[in-house]
Amino acid sequence: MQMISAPSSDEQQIIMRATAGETQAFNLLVLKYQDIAYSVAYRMLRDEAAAADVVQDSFIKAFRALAGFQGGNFRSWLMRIVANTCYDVLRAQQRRATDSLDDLAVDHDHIPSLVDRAESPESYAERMELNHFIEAGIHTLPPEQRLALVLCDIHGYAYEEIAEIAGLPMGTVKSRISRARLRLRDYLLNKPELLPASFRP
Amino acid sequence: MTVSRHQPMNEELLSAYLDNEVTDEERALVEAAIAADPAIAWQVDSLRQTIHLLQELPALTLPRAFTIEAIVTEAKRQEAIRTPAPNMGAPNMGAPNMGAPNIGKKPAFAQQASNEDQTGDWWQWLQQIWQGGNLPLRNAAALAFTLMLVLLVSNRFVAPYQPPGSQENTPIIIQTATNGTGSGNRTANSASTKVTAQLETTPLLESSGTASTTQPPVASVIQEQAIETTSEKLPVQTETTTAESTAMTLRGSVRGPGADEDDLTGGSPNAAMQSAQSEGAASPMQDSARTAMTASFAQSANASTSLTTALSTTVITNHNAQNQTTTVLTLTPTVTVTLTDSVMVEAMTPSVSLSTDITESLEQPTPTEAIRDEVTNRAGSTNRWLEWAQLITALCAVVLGGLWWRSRE
Repeated sequence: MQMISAPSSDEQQIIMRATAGETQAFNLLVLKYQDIAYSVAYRMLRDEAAAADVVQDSFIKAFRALAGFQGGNFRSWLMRIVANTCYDVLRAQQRRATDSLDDLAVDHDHIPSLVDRAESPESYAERMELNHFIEAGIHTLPPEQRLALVLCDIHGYAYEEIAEIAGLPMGTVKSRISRARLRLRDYLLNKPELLPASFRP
Repeated sequence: MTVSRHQPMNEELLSAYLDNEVTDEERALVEAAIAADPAIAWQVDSLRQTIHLLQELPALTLPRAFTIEAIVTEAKRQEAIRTPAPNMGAPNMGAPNMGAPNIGKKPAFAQQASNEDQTGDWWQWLQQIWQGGNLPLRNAAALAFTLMLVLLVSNRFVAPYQPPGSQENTPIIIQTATNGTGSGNRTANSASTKVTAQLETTPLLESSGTASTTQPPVASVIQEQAIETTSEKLPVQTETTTAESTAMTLRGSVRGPGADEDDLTGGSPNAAMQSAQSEGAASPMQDSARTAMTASFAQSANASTSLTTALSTTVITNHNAQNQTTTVLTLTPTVTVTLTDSVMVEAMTPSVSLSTDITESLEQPTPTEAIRDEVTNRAGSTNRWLEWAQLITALCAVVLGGLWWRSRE
């Protein structure tokens, strides 16, 4: 579990340069956090294009609001922007009630994951199926639980930082993480053949 | 789910235990429970493996870079793809128009952001409304549509719609005369008009028609129908008589719609009088009205005189054209009978209730206060108000609907 790390002096200087309008300084921040921002956005939305748009919008918002950044944990501040932008997109999707074309036709040739060439095709296929199953299980969670689970279990954020990102008390974060894990576990138990033997009751 | 054998322990505690977010006491408690209860041990183990599976998820590859230059390039690409849309100079969050890349300098959207700070939040808010979805805007549009529907519906109830030229909506002119000194016109909607005149008379006089002068006909009564009635001396009685006439009868007796108008009453008051006084020209509708009102009058009048009455929808006036007593009976809330020349007698003091579902306003209101009080004139003003309200609401609905349509993107 990661602990909240105070921004290094280098990062503080980069933030100050970016606040002054230096594009290259802001690009450094983008390069540092774009992976995690995209990962959170993709897990929240499960849509590549929408996640990319969310990340782009989040960075634009961050750049505009950089002057108002009061210091502290820049990563938490940025992830809060990403999370709020994801919530906005989810609300918009709920209003429009649209179906993603990606859900209708899954492009198995373009699964956004790294390929380990050492494993056999069978194990690769099983791993891909399990990953797809887990991703689907994550998507069944409510957005609030989803965010807490992704930040905590996938990206290793501490409870305190998750509480800061979500703007919630610590107890609420604990509860959401616990419920999310239980729901996901029960979901995974629906297909025990994909799970390791020790996982099965 | 609470573990039964360890009440203080719940799954939230187990989850926190896996994350090392527990105190030493809680950790000891959980470990003791795990050692004592296999179910708790499986719970902890399954949760741990769930976390492990999540941690083993592969890292995602970025579909594109998100640096400023990449964002600018992506924005230009999307701008080229998108259909040109009205641009009010506002940034598009989905595809920001940030101009050409300007490395080393403050980016265009950053410059724009600083400008927006100077302009104020209201301009940004307007831009957001114009550029993207806005829930308050949609709610306002929905409210405007709802108001328009409510106004349309309420208009139906308050004042029925009257298409021009419709036979069902030909107004009825109800005319009155009080002591021959005044007359009043009022317009009523004849679509479902049912006029009921109740005459409660009291015995007043026995008079013979020996008047020497002639009371001129009530010329001011327009479009009336003269009905000659000769009543014999009737016993004095008090009786309530109801004269009812259907809408068609009233229309026929007063003013026929369309091409039949001239045939029935003529195009002018004089023509109406002439037509009414001519028995041969009387139509069946006229007869119907005459019968009703004659019976009413004959029973109510205790007179041995020959009366000539002029009937106007709900008003009966009489006149004598042959040097006989002329009685003008006006169906007003206070009905009076005027004996011309020799005697002016309060012939009858009946109470007349005139009930109609009149919905039109007074047209050319006259000093006849009784009639004016009786007629409800709120419908006309309500109609005008509703028309304006509908017009304004419709305009608002169109504008808001257009903005909403644009905000769908």
